[in-house]
Amino acid sequence: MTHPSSTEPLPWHDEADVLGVRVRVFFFDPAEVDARAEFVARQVPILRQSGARLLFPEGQRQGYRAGLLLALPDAVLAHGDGLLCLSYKGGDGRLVEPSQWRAQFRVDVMLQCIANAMAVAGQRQQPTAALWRGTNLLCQFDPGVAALECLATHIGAARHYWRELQSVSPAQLAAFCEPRLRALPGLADSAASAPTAAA
Amino acid sequence: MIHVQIASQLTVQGVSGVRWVLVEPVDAPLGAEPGAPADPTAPPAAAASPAPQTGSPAAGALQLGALKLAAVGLGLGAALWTAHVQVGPPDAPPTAPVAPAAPAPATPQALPAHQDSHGAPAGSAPPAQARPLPPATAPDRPATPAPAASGGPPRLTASL
Repeated sequence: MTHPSSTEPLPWHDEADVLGVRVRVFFFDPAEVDARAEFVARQVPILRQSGARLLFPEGQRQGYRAGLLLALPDAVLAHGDGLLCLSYKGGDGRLVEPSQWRAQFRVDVMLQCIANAMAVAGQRQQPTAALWRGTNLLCQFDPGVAALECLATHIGAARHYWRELQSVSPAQLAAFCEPRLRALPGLADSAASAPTAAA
Repeated sequence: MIHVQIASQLTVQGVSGVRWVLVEPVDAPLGAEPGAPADPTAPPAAAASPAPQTGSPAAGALQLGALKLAAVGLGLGAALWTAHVQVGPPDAPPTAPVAPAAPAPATPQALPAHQDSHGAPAGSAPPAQARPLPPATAPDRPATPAPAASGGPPRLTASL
Protein backbone atom coordinates (compact mmCIF):
# COMPACT_ATOMS: atom_id res chain seq x y z
CA MET A 1 0.00 0.00 0.00
CA THR A 2 1.46 3.31 -1.06
CA HIS A 3 1.06 6.48 0.89
CA PRO A 4 1.19 10.02 -0.37
CA SER A 5 4.24 12.10 0.31
CA SER A 6 4.03 15.07 2.60
CA THR A 7 3.56 17.49 -0.27
CA GLU A 8 0.90 15.56 -2.15
CA PRO A 9 -2.75 16.17 -1.44
CA LEU A 10 -4.47 13.46 0.46
CA PRO A 11 -6.28 10.85 -1.61
CA TRP A 12 -9.82 12.05 -1.12
CA HIS A 13 -12.30 10.09 -3.19
CA ASP A 14 -14.72 12.90 -3.85
CA GLU A 15 -15.50 16.47 -2.93
CA ALA A 16 -18.34 18.90 -3.35
CA ASP A 17 -19.64 22.25 -2.20
CA VAL A 18 -22.46 21.98 0.30
CA LEU A 19 -23.94 25.24 1.57
CA GLY A 20 -20.71 27.09 1.09
CA VAL A 21 -18.57 24.37 2.61
CA ARG A 22 -16.11 22.34 0.60
CA VAL A 23 -16.63 18.74 1.64
CA ARG A 24 -13.99 16.15 0.91
CA VAL A 25 -14.82 12.52 1.49
CA PHE A 26 -12.74 9.42 1.87
CA PHE A 27 -14.38 6.00 1.80
CA PHE A 28 -12.99 2.95 3.53
CA ASP A 29 -13.92 -0.56 4.46
CA PRO A 30 -15.21 -0.43 8.02
CA ALA A 31 -14.55 -4.10 8.63
CA GLU A 32 -10.88 -3.55 8.01
CA VAL A 33 -10.45 -0.10 9.48
CA ASP A 34 -12.40 -0.70 12.67
CA ALA A 35 -10.12 -3.61 13.48
CA ARG A 36 -7.07 -1.39 13.66
CA ALA A 37 -5.63 -0.86 17.08
CA GLU A 38 -4.10 2.55 16.65
CA PHE A 39 -6.52 5.44 17.06
CA VAL A 40 -5.46 7.54 14.10
CA ALA A 41 -5.41 4.56 11.75
CA ARG A 42 -8.86 3.57 12.94
CA GLN A 43 -10.61 6.92 13.18
CA VAL A 44 -8.72 8.98 10.61
CA PRO A 45 -7.69 6.31 8.12
CA ILE A 46 -6.58 8.82 5.51
CA LEU A 47 -3.83 9.94 7.89
CA ARG A 48 -2.82 6.44 8.84
CA GLN A 49 0.92 7.00 8.41
CA SER A 50 0.98 10.57 9.64
CA GLY A 51 2.28 11.89 12.90
CA ALA A 52 -1.10 12.92 14.22
CA ARG A 53 -1.52 12.17 17.90
CA LEU A 54 -4.30 12.54 20.41
CA LEU A 55 -4.10 15.44 22.83
CA PHE A 56 -5.97 13.43 25.45
CA PRO A 57 -6.48 9.71 25.88
CA GLU A 58 -9.12 8.10 23.73
CA GLY A 59 -12.58 8.52 25.16
CA GLN A 60 -11.63 11.43 27.36
CA ARG A 61 -13.48 14.47 26.14
CA GLN A 62 -12.25 17.95 26.86
CA GLY A 63 -14.35 21.09 26.69
CA TYR A 64 -13.27 23.93 24.44
CA ARG A 65 -14.68 27.42 24.52
CA ALA A 66 -14.56 30.30 22.09
CA GLY A 67 -16.62 33.11 23.52
CA LEU A 68 -20.06 31.72 24.20
CA LEU A 69 -19.48 28.65 22.08
CA LEU A 70 -18.72 25.61 24.21
CA ALA A 71 -17.84 22.36 22.47
CA LEU A 72 -17.05 18.84 23.56
CA PRO A 73 -15.49 17.25 20.51
CA ASP A 74 -15.03 13.51 20.42
CA ALA A 75 -11.29 13.85 19.87
CA VAL A 76 -8.67 16.51 19.20
CA LEU A 77 -5.40 15.57 17.61
CA ALA A 78 -2.21 17.50 17.10
CA HIS A 79 -1.19 17.33 13.47
CA GLY A 80 1.91 19.24 12.48
CA ASP A 81 1.50 22.82 13.57
CA GLY A 82 -2.27 22.53 13.62
CA LEU A 83 -5.05 20.53 15.17
CA LEU A 84 -7.65 18.07 13.98
CA CYS A 85 -11.07 18.31 15.54
CA LEU A 86 -12.70 14.94 15.01
CA SER A 87 -16.28 13.91 15.58
CA TYR A 88 -17.17 10.25 15.21
CA LYS A 89 -19.91 9.54 17.71
CA GLY A 90 -22.65 11.34 15.84
CA GLY A 91 -24.53 10.24 12.79
CA ASP A 92 -27.02 7.47 12.33
CA GLY A 93 -24.53 4.64 11.85
CA ARG A 94 -25.68 3.84 8.32
CA LEU A 95 -23.31 2.84 5.56
CA VAL A 96 -23.03 5.54 2.95
CA GLU A 97 -23.09 4.54 -0.66
CA PRO A 98 -20.15 6.25 -2.42
CA SER A 99 -22.29 7.21 -5.39
CA GLN A 100 -25.07 8.52 -3.19
CA TRP A 101 -23.16 10.15 -0.40
CA ARG A 102 -24.49 13.62 -1.13
CA ALA A 103 -28.08 12.45 -0.96
CA GLN A 104 -27.39 10.96 2.46
CA PHE A 105 -25.28 13.86 3.60
CA ARG A 106 -26.36 15.59 6.79
CA VAL A 107 -25.79 19.31 6.83
CA ASP A 108 -26.44 19.56 10.56
CA VAL A 109 -23.60 17.16 11.29
CA MET A 110 -21.33 19.16 9.03
CA LEU A 111 -22.13 22.46 10.74
CA GLN A 112 -21.69 20.89 14.16
CA CYS A 113 -18.24 19.68 13.20
CA ILE A 114 -17.26 23.13 11.98
CA ALA A 115 -18.57 24.72 15.17
CA ASN A 116 -16.61 22.18 17.20
CA ALA A 117 -13.48 23.10 15.29
CA MET A 118 -14.15 26.79 15.83
CA ALA A 119 -14.28 26.31 19.57
CA VAL A 120 -11.09 24.28 19.56
CA ALA A 121 -9.30 26.78 17.34
CA GLY A 122 -10.51 29.69 19.44
CA GLN A 123 -9.29 28.27 22.70
CA ARG A 124 -6.07 26.73 21.47
CA GLN A 125 -5.26 29.54 19.02
CA GLN A 126 -4.12 27.07 16.42
CA PRO A 127 -5.45 26.35 12.94
CA THR A 128 -7.88 23.48 13.25
CA ALA A 129 -9.34 21.19 10.63
CA ALA A 130 -12.91 19.94 11.01
CA LEU A 131 -13.31 16.20 10.44
CA TRP A 132 -16.19 13.80 10.73
CA ARG A 133 -15.83 10.06 10.67
CA GLY A 134 -18.90 8.09 9.71
CA THR A 135 -19.38 4.35 9.45
CA ASN A 136 -17.52 4.00 6.19
CA LEU A 137 -16.39 7.50 5.25
CA LEU A 138 -14.27 10.31 6.55
CA CYS A 139 -15.17 13.90 5.74
CA GLN A 140 -13.11 17.04 5.93
CA PHE A 141 -15.00 20.30 5.94
CA ASP A 142 -13.49 23.44 4.50
CA PRO A 143 -15.96 26.22 5.24
CA GLY A 144 -16.10 29.22 2.99
CA VAL A 145 -16.28 32.79 4.19
CA ALA A 146 -20.07 32.94 4.21
CA ALA A 147 -20.51 29.76 6.22
CA LEU A 148 -17.77 30.66 8.66
CA GLU A 149 -19.09 34.17 9.21
CA CYS A 150 -22.63 32.92 9.59
CA LEU A 151 -21.57 30.57 12.36
CA ALA A 152 -19.29 33.08 14.04
CA THR A 153 -21.74 35.97 14.05
CA HIS A 154 -24.79 34.05 15.25
CA ILE A 155 -23.40 32.60 18.45
CA GLY A 156 -25.05 35.20 20.65
CA ALA A 157 -28.32 35.05 18.76
CA ALA A 158 -28.35 31.27 18.98
CA ARG A 159 -27.82 31.47 22.71
CA HIS A 160 -30.76 33.85 23.03
CA TYR A 161 -32.87 31.62 20.79
CA TRP A 162 -32.17 28.54 22.85
CA ARG A 163 -32.48 30.50 26.10
CA GLU A 164 -29.10 29.42 27.32
CA LEU A 165 -27.48 31.44 30.07
CA GLN A 166 -23.87 30.40 29.89
CA SER A 167 -23.06 29.10 26.44
CA VAL A 168 -24.38 27.57 23.28
CA SER A 169 -23.45 24.14 22.00
CA PRO A 170 -22.33 23.37 18.46
CA ALA A 171 -25.53 21.43 17.87
CA GLN A 172 -27.63 24.42 18.88
CA LEU A 173 -25.54 26.79 16.79
CA ALA A 174 -25.78 24.48 13.80
CA ALA A 175 -29.54 24.16 14.09
CA PHE A 176 -29.84 27.93 14.37
CA CYS A 177 -27.58 28.68 11.42
CA GLU A 178 -28.65 26.02 8.94
CA PRO A 179 -31.83 27.80 7.75
CA ARG A 180 -29.92 31.07 7.55
CA LEU A 181 -27.25 29.48 5.44
CA ARG A 182 -29.88 27.98 3.18
CA ALA A 183 -31.42 31.42 2.79
CA LEU A 184 -28.18 33.04 1.68
CA PRO A 185 -28.19 33.69 -2.04
CA GLY A 186 -26.00 31.35 -3.99
CA LEU A 187 -25.39 28.87 -1.21
CA ALA A 188 -28.60 26.89 -1.50
CA ASP A 189 -27.78 26.11 -5.10
CA SER A 190 -24.41 24.72 -4.13
CA ALA A 191 -26.10 21.84 -2.35
CA ALA A 192 -27.59 20.70 -5.64
CA SER A 193 -24.49 21.08 -7.79
CA ALA A 194 -22.73 18.04 -9.10
CA PRO A 195 -19.81 16.83 -7.04
CA THR A 196 -16.37 17.18 -8.44
CA ALA A 197 -14.66 13.86 -8.75
CA ALA A 198 -11.21 13.74 -7.27
CA ALA A 199 -8.53 11.14 -7.03
CA MET B 1 -12.36 39.34 19.77
CA ILE B 2 -11.22 35.77 19.54
CA HIS B 3 -9.26 34.81 16.49
CA VAL B 4 -10.49 31.51 15.08
CA GLN B 5 -8.50 29.76 12.36
CA ILE B 6 -9.99 26.89 10.43
CA ALA B 7 -7.64 24.85 8.28
CA SER B 8 -8.83 24.36 4.76
CA GLN B 9 -6.36 21.72 3.65
CA LEU B 10 -4.90 18.58 5.12
CA THR B 11 -1.60 17.03 4.25
CA VAL B 12 0.29 14.15 5.75
CA GLN B 13 2.50 16.56 7.64
CA GLY B 14 -0.08 18.98 8.94
CA VAL B 15 -2.72 21.50 8.05
CA SER B 16 -2.56 24.41 5.65
CA GLY B 17 -4.68 27.04 3.99
CA VAL B 18 -6.02 28.78 7.04
CA ARG B 19 -9.33 30.61 6.98
CA TRP B 20 -10.00 32.81 9.94
CA VAL B 21 -12.90 34.58 11.53
CA LEU B 22 -13.46 36.61 14.69
CA VAL B 23 -15.74 35.43 17.46
CA GLU B 24 -17.15 37.73 20.12
CA PRO B 25 -15.71 36.88 23.52
CA VAL B 26 -18.87 37.77 25.43
CA ASP B 27 -22.43 38.75 24.70
CA ALA B 28 -22.28 42.53 25.05
CA PRO B 29 -26.04 43.37 25.29
CA LEU B 30 -26.66 41.17 28.28
CA GLY B 31 -23.30 41.59 29.97
CA ALA B 32 -24.24 39.24 32.77
CA GLU B 33 -22.10 36.28 31.93
CA PRO B 34 -20.87 34.61 35.07
CA GLY B 35 -17.87 33.21 33.23
CA ALA B 36 -17.18 36.25 31.15
CA PRO B 37 -13.66 37.56 31.31
CA ALA B 38 -13.23 41.01 32.74
CA ASP B 39 -10.85 41.98 29.99
CA PRO B 40 -12.33 41.56 26.51
CA THR B 41 -8.84 41.29 25.06
CA ALA B 42 -7.98 38.38 27.30
CA PRO B 43 -6.91 35.23 25.50
CA PRO B 44 -9.55 32.53 25.01
CA ALA B 45 -7.89 30.34 27.59
CA ALA B 46 -8.73 32.98 30.15
CA ALA B 47 -12.30 32.96 28.93
CA ALA B 48 -12.53 29.25 29.59
CA SER B 49 -11.10 29.54 33.06
CA PRO B 50 -13.32 30.83 35.83
CA ALA B 51 -12.74 34.54 35.55
CA PRO B 52 -13.46 36.89 38.46
CA GLN B 53 -16.94 38.26 38.64
CA THR B 54 -17.40 41.61 36.97
CA GLY B 55 -20.16 42.71 39.40
CA SER B 56 -22.64 43.27 36.65
CA PRO B 57 -25.46 41.30 38.32
CA ALA B 58 -25.10 43.31 41.56
CA ALA B 59 -25.02 46.58 39.65
CA GLY B 60 -28.13 45.55 37.77
CA ALA B 61 -29.94 44.69 41.00
CA LEU B 62 -28.94 48.02 42.51
CA GLN B 63 -30.16 49.87 39.46
CA LEU B 64 -33.45 48.02 39.61
CA GLY B 65 -33.87 48.79 43.29
CA ALA B 66 -33.10 52.46 42.76
CA LEU B 67 -35.58 52.54 39.93
CA LYS B 68 -38.26 51.01 42.14
CA LEU B 69 -37.54 53.50 44.92
CA ALA B 70 -37.71 56.38 42.49
CA ALA B 71 -41.05 55.16 41.17
CA VAL B 72 -42.47 54.79 44.69
CA GLY B 73 -41.15 58.22 45.67
CA LEU B 74 -42.64 59.84 42.64
CA GLY B 75 -46.01 58.24 43.35
CA LEU B 76 -45.89 59.31 46.98
CA GLY B 77 -44.93 62.84 46.03
CA ALA B 78 -47.72 63.06 43.52
CA ALA B 79 -50.20 61.86 46.13
CA LEU B 80 -48.97 64.38 48.71
CA TRP B 81 -49.08 67.18 46.20
CA THR B 82 -52.62 66.29 45.21
CA ALA B 83 -53.68 66.18 48.84
CA HIS B 84 -51.95 69.50 49.47
CA VAL B 85 -53.73 71.16 46.57
CA GLN B 86 -57.18 69.75 47.30
CA VAL B 87 -57.22 69.65 51.11
CA GLY B 88 -54.45 71.92 52.23
CA PRO B 89 -51.46 71.53 54.49
CA PRO B 90 -51.81 68.93 57.21
CA ASP B 91 -51.53 71.39 60.13
CA ALA B 92 -53.74 74.07 58.61
CA PRO B 93 -57.35 74.52 59.77
CA PRO B 94 -59.74 72.52 57.68
CA THR B 95 -61.12 74.43 54.76
CA ALA B 96 -64.04 72.16 54.07
CA PRO B 97 -66.76 70.70 56.23
CA VAL B 98 -65.43 67.81 58.22
CA ALA B 99 -68.75 66.75 59.51
CA PRO B 100 -67.90 63.07 59.57
CA ALA B 101 -65.53 63.70 62.48
CA ALA B 102 -68.23 64.88 64.85
CA PRO B 103 -70.97 62.28 64.86
CA ALA B 104 -68.69 59.35 65.52
CA PRO B 105 -68.04 60.00 69.20
CA ALA B 106 -71.35 61.72 69.77
CA THR B 107 -73.93 60.17 72.00
CA PRO B 108 -77.36 59.18 70.72
CA GLN B 109 -78.83 62.27 72.31
CA ALA B 110 -76.61 64.52 70.26
CA LEU B 111 -77.28 62.84 66.96
CA PRO B 112 -80.45 64.71 66.06
CA ALA B 113 -78.64 68.02 66.36
CA HIS B 114 -76.36 67.04 63.47
CA GLN B 115 -79.06 66.24 61.00
CA ASP B 116 -79.63 68.60 58.19
CA SER B 117 -82.89 69.95 56.98
CA HIS B 118 -83.59 66.79 55.02
CA GLY B 119 -83.20 64.65 58.04
CA ALA B 120 -80.14 62.92 56.78
CA PRO B 121 -77.23 62.51 59.13
CA ALA B 122 -74.43 64.97 58.64
CA GLY B 123 -71.98 62.16 58.22
CA SER B 124 -73.83 60.91 55.18
CA ALA B 125 -73.94 64.28 53.46
CA PRO B 126 -72.74 64.03 49.89
CA PRO B 127 -69.27 65.45 49.54
CA ALA B 128 -70.32 67.27 46.42
CA GLN B 129 -71.97 69.85 48.60
CA ALA B 130 -68.86 70.61 50.57
CA ARG B 131 -66.27 70.69 47.80
CA PRO B 132 -67.56 73.60 45.70
CA LEU B 133 -67.72 75.93 48.67
CA PRO B 134 -64.77 78.24 49.09
CA PRO B 135 -63.17 78.36 52.50
CA ALA B 136 -64.61 81.77 53.25
CA THR B 137 -68.15 80.52 52.94
CA ALA B 138 -67.73 77.40 54.94
CA PRO B 139 -68.25 78.98 58.39
CA ASP B 140 -71.53 80.54 57.27
CA ARG B 141 -73.20 77.28 56.45
CA PRO B 142 -75.65 75.73 58.84
CA ALA B 143 -74.19 72.74 60.62
CA THR B 144 -70.80 74.14 59.73
CA PRO B 145 -67.73 72.04 60.16
CA ALA B 146 -66.20 74.35 62.71
CA PRO B 147 -68.71 73.60 65.45
CA ALA B 148 -68.78 70.03 64.39
CA ALA B 149 -65.03 69.74 64.39
CA SER B 150 -64.81 71.43 67.71
CA GLY B 151 -67.64 69.35 68.91
CA GLY B 152 -66.36 69.14 72.44
CA PRO B 153 -68.98 71.38 74.01
CA PRO B 154 -71.96 69.58 72.50
CA ARG B 155 -70.47 66.30 73.50
CA LEU B 156 -69.93 67.56 77.00
CA THR B 157 -73.46 68.88 77.12
CA ALA B 158 -74.81 65.58 75.94
CA SER B 159 -72.81 63.79 78.55
CA LEU B 160 -74.22 65.93 81.26
